[in-house]
Amino acid sequence: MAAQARSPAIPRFVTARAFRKLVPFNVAIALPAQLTVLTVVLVPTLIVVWLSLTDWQPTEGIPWYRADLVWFWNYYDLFHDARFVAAVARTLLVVVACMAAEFLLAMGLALLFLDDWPWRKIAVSIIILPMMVVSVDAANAFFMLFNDRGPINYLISLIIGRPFEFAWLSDPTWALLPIMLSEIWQWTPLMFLLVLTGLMNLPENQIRAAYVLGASRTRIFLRVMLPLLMPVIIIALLVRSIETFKIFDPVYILTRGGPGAATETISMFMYNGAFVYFRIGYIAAAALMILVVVIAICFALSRLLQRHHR
Amino acid sequence: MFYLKDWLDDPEENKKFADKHGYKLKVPDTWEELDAMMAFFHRPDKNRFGGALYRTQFFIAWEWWVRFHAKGYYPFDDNMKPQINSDAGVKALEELIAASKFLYPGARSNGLFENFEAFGQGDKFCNIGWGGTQKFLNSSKSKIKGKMAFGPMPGGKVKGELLKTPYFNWGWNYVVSSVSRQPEIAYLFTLYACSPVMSTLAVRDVDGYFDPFRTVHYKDPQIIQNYSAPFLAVHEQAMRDSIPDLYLRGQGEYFDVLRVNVQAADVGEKKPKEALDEVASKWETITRRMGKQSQVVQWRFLKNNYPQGIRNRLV
Repeated sequence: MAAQARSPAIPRFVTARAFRKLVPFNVAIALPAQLTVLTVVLVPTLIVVWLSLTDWQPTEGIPWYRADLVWFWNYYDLFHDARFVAAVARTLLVVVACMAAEFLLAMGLALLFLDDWPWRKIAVSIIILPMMVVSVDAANAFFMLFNDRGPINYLISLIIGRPFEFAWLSDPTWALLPIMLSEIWQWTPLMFLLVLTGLMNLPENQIRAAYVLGASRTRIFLRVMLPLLMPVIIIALLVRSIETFKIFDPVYILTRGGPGAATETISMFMYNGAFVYFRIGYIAAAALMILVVVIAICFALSRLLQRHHR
Repeated sequence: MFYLKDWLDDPEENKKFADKHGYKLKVPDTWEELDAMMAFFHRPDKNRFGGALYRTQFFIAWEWWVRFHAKGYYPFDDNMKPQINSDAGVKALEELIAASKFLYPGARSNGLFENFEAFGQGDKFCNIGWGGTQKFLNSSKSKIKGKMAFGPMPGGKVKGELLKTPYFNWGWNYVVSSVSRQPEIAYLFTLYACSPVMSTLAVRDVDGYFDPFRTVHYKDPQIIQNYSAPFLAVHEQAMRDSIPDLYLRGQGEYFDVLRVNVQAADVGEKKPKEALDEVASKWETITRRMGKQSQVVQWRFLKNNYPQGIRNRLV
């Protein structure tokens, strides 16, 4: 029997069989989702790259694709913009300080919750409650706590025995503290969950062997548990670093970046630039520069992870 | 401006103030008089404060703006060269910083509505604000309803004569977008919303955000009841005599640089001259970026829209 003739209009490579040969099944299944994600991520990124090379402002009344090119002048201006550089440095400070505090607190809590004890499950539920609070509400709570006549100053007054009315939110040196405390309070529970899960999945035989061999609890923690936990710690730090880098709600609610620009983080800088002065092109360039910084952080942490696996 | 009438009219306070300054307590005409009264009434040990003026973002820049204009200067000369870092600008900033000492503790952190409530407690001598401030202060939520005196923003002595420069800022605008698909309907809606009848209904709303802006509003009995007649008299006069906002391209950027540096100077991060020099330098950059020619044209147009009486006295 003669083979069924293929329509000459359909090229060979688009037939179903050819497609199945070209693209493995497991890839084909994921392809629609991958293409969607790529479109959603890639297209806006390309638009941002274009905008970063222009000085487009929506108030000019011209469409974004017809904006005049200024090439790399936005990048040049950003490097020489003291406020931008200060915002990046300040944000890095917030990330390092918050990560250190969150990690230490989370590790301490996780070690406490490692063993079973009465009410443990209820205690875990209470500890993770801050994560459930809308971040704007959390920031509002800290605004009231650190008000000149708020509970924090009142507590300090009770401790020192005289009136204490310090303007936390308007002192250029201390205004970052309530912001960081708000962030730490809300997101330590997430770090705690990650670290606790990691601790609970450590191989018990190694830890038991160390006990049997007479190692102290501190030595076991430092020389056995911590190295085994390192991948979890690195991933937790990576995830939280990226999120903390984007900190906005506490800054906006507590200080709006003030006094002056003393607490202006990179998100606040970009918010003002994009939505207050509409300098979309300039902020697009800032966004790409920040992307490079964040990728560098991720790269550094992932190298740690790879080194650990070796 | 809002003042506690009881404190102004107190005979003992009047005598003490007059002995010290040589004139009686009154609704101040100049910023110097206001600052002197705030200093006089500031007694934090007795839970009394000189003022509830704002030291937060934007608000602080607006106050400096009026203080500066009251010295007799425009912020730019005819060629858009900033004049804000002149001796007058530095003096205005120094006086603002000095006055900060006589404000209530929440001045540097409280926003608009916290300010209303704080002043409504009746333990601060004066406040600065808008019609919305009075809507709150004249309501049952305030402890000082009916106990206030009102006055326009203080001014300054320029060549020996009093110059007041009330400032129209923070208004509402209806704007039809250039890419609107229904521009005619949008425009008709703006006419409808601003019409005498509809706008009167909006201004009457005690919890609303619209304040009087038509002559018909100042005659409406409900609006008079909500705001009080003495306040409306001052408000109407201030509206007629007010200097315009900085209606230039990049207004947000000009003012953002100003408020960052004025606030930095207020909290001691920068010296006043240093702060204003930085503002002037950044303003030049902004002007260049916006297009100096067009900015000069717009600025000259804006200058001509200052009230006649003020226009003739500013340099």
